[in-house]
Amino acid sequence: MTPLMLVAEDFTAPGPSIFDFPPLYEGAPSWLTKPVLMAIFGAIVVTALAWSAFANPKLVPRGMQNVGEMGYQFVRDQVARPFLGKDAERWMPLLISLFFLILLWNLFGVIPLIQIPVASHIAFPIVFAVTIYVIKVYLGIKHQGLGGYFKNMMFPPGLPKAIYVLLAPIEFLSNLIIAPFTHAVRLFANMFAGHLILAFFSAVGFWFLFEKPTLLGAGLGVVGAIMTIAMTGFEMFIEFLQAFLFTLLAAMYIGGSLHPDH
Amino acid sequence: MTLAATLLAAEGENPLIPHAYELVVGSFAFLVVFLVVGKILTPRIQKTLAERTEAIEGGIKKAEDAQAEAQRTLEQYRAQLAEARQEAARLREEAREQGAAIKAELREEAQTEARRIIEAAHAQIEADRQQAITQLRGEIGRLSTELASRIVGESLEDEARQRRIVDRFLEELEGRPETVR
Amino acid sequence: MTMRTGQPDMTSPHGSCYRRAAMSEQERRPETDGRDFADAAWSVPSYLLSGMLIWGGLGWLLSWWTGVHAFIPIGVILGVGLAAYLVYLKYGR
Repeated sequence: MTPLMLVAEDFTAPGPSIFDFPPLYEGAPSWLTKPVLMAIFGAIVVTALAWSAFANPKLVPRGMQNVGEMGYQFVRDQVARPFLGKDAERWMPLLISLFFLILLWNLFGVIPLIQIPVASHIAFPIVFAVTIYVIKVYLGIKHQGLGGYFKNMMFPPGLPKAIYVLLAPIEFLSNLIIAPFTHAVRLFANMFAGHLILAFFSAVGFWFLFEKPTLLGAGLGVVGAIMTIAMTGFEMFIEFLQAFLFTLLAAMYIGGSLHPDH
Repeated sequence: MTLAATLLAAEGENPLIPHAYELVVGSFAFLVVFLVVGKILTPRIQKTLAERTEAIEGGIKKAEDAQAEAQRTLEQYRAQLAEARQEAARLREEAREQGAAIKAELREEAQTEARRIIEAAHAQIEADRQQAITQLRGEIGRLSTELASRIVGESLEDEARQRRIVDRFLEELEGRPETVR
Repeated sequence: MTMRTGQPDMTSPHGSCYRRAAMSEQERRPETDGRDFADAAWSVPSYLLSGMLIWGGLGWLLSWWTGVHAFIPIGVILGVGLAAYLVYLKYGR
């Protein structure tokens, strides 16, 4: 055993149990937990911010409208237009709601006292992914017909028949099962792992600097504290990136159903 | 790896199994956000952005219109100028032609007049000549008679006398008013 | 089901995304290039995973039925290969 491990003898790293929350107070209903409260709080904050920005928009923007327009134009130019083309404006309400809500829920991970990315509970990404999945399949069938949708998906013309037998199951599984699954899991896993890493480093810093300060462990604690700060910055980036990617994939799936042939 | 070990060993809920109540809350939260942010607010900002684009494009359009108007006016002026030049040239040409015509006409007239005068003169001369001949004829007869009577009346003695008579006659003849010229 | 106007003709035998790579440079609008790239980037893992699962699953069934365990890795490798071929067909050409 190295001295470092001796120092760390009593230290237990935080595990997935940090995502388990009891009801908020004694006697509260079992569903009223911190993530649930934060989900509702986040929805209210997004609505309020959007209201302050867009409720009474001016031709010459100022204050919150500027910020809101920046977000709106980001989603429109980076997500909606590249994947939806002339249908972009029609899908902006959905995409903007998705992006803003996911972004704020994600950013809750680094906001002091809140410190829980809502999407680290897989139920929330599932809600979004299922919504997009339903829209995707509905639009596909609506615009291409029931048979046409599956035919375009699994049997695109231009290949010898024998190849279809080999490839069609892959297309089917990829488009209808793996894609929505990874859509939800990507967001969940990023938030889950990121929060776990943050918790780990901050736990290291707290443990070795305050809980059990030893001469040998102090260095470790300092590293933990520095890494916590660095990872917080990195997490903010990841939280933004994942909100963007989730919205981008939603636009991609919708666009794919509207125009199967690109 | 402590972290991985704890991860695997940790007791508690499976993070991959969603809580039913969280699904409900998540759906509700998303629905509220979608209805308010998506359905109410997004159309407003879309409208504003469209109006802004329109305003900017409207300004550009206005400037373009003004420029087109100026261009049109310039074209119009140029056309008018060209037209005026053409008109002036046409008038000049016309005047030149008219002048030439007048000149030709005058010349023609003058020639006609000259011819007329000449012809009149010729006729006058002819008439005068005829008159002179007629008169001369009578005069010559009378003079011949007179000369003959003088010659006969005078004694025709010698040649010198005759010569003097003839000379005197001719002198008399010269002394008369000129009728034949 | 009605098709909206302006959409590509789905019944045409040539209207395939497999043919996209065969388009000339002029036919490819610049803004769709980024989209194609994103499409490919997000679809490739999904296809590979799907190929592995489908053909690995078939291999597992075969091995369970015949008792020859070699069918599982054969199925997984075949699946990955087919998925890679599919990706090549869709985005690589």
